Amino acid sequence: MQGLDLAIVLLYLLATLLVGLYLTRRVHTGADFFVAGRRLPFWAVGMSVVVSDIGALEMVGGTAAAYRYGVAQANYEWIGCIPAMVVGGLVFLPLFWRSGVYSVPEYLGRRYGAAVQLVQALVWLVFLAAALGVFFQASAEMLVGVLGWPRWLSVGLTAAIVAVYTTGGGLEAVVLTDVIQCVVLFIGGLTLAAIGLSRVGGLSGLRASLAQGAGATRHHLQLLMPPGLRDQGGGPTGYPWPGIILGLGMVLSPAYWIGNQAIVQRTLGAKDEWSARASMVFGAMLKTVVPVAFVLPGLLGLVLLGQQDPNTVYPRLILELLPVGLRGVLYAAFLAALMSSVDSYTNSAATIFTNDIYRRFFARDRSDGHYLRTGRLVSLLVVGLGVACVPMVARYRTIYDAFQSFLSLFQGPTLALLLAGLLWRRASPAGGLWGMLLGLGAAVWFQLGPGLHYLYIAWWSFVAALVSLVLVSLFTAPLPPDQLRPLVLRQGPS
Amino acid sequence: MSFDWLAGVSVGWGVGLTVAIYLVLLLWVVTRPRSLVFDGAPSSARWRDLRLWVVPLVLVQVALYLVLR
Repeated sequence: MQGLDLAIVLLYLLATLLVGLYLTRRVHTGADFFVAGRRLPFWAVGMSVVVSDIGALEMVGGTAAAYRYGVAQANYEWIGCIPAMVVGGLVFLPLFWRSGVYSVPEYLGRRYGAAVQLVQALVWLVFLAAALGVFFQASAEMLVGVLGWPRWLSVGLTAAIVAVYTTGGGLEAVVLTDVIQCVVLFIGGLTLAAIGLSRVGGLSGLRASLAQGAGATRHHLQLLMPPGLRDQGGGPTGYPWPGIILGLGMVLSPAYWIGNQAIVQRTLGAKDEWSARASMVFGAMLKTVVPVAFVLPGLLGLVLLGQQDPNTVYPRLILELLPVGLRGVLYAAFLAALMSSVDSYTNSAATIFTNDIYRRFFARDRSDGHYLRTGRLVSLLVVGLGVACVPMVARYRTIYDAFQSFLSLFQGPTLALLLAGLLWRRASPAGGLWGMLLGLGAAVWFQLGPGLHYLYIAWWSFVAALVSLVLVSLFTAPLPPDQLRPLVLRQGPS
Repeated sequence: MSFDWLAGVSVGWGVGLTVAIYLVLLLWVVTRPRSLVFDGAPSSARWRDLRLWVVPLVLVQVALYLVLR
């Protein structure tokens, strides 16, 4: 790496650290730490939710998938995000904001009881902590490869910077550093795409080059693909249109944008109810542009680089297309994508442990300062746990796929509980518990038995959870009306 | 359960379904009452009307799915 590139990367790291440290002075209460004192503007929340969703793995892996399968990868940013963000922003998230909860498990706990809250909290904690290990591993791959630093130093530096501003500044530091990270990420990604596009002769040149590829690139400019299509290795492509619409569009996406703690927590920090709504619609607008930065380069790589390992396409494009200085911006963008995911997951894990497990089951009526200190300590421990997971995540791309499958195991049941809880007054606590358990069981069975694609596991586990929730609810008692009122969208007769 | 039985169905049906989802979303948003959109807003300035934000957002998506098919 050239000196100028290194200077840009170090400048970015220093700026992030200083902003995070400055915001530490504004944290005095648990509400400051967990929901940023409810003073965040909509544009900051919108940028934060988008950049938290674009992890470093998506930056490399998303481009690799676009190289291999084509523009269909953009479904994960478009039909797989935008409808759910609009509906979630206009309908569901304002209700969470009004009810004053800190987390999704807390909402489910109020709606269905302590057992549901505990299971949800534990599932989320396991997932968030393990995901951190993957992110740190990705950081190490990047810094070892580019800077030649030892692995322990690469992981340690990323972990230390994130730990300092996350444990100190809480959600406000996370969101406002995400704003910096979002700007860096978009500048870097769009610049690479623009330079690459000019090299291939614009969109018409790209289209003509892909047309020359005949059979191999036949579907590369199609957003939706037929079911049963196989890639060159004989595996499913991952983009069959029924799976994209039913599994991704109808289940995984709403579950992610309405039920993912890392996303919901940001909107809970919005300064008013309108800002909570607007943040998601603004985020959806940004999502429209994301594939230009991180899907289009996959297609450009196919034309400019020819045959090679898909996972190396993005780094190769950086080296081939960008001059010194701009490369530094892209390396900083990679770190930005990584750190925005790490800080989000750390803060969310601390919030869930502190509020849904520690406060609920072990220390109910302590002072606000006690929970603030606990949240900070847990943030630190979560970062440490993530670092400890790194040696187990040697092949992060494989583990990443496993995480997608793991997400599909509980996202379907979670969405069923959320939708029924918010929309159907008759949904009972017993129905919620059985719906969740049977939905999780069905998801595990679909994974181990028929071995379905994770998009279909999400759909069928959602159906199983919803059906069992409805059936059990019809024969068991719902919550009393006074407890139900702040938790549902439609108010019944009082 | 893996919907492979839909392999013979044209992808055009998938595109049509996706466009229909977006158009239903658009219709739903523009028919939301003004009071609901501005609930909790510090002012009722025209730029805060989120229905107006959603219209171009959805139309761009519809265009993308119609072009890239």
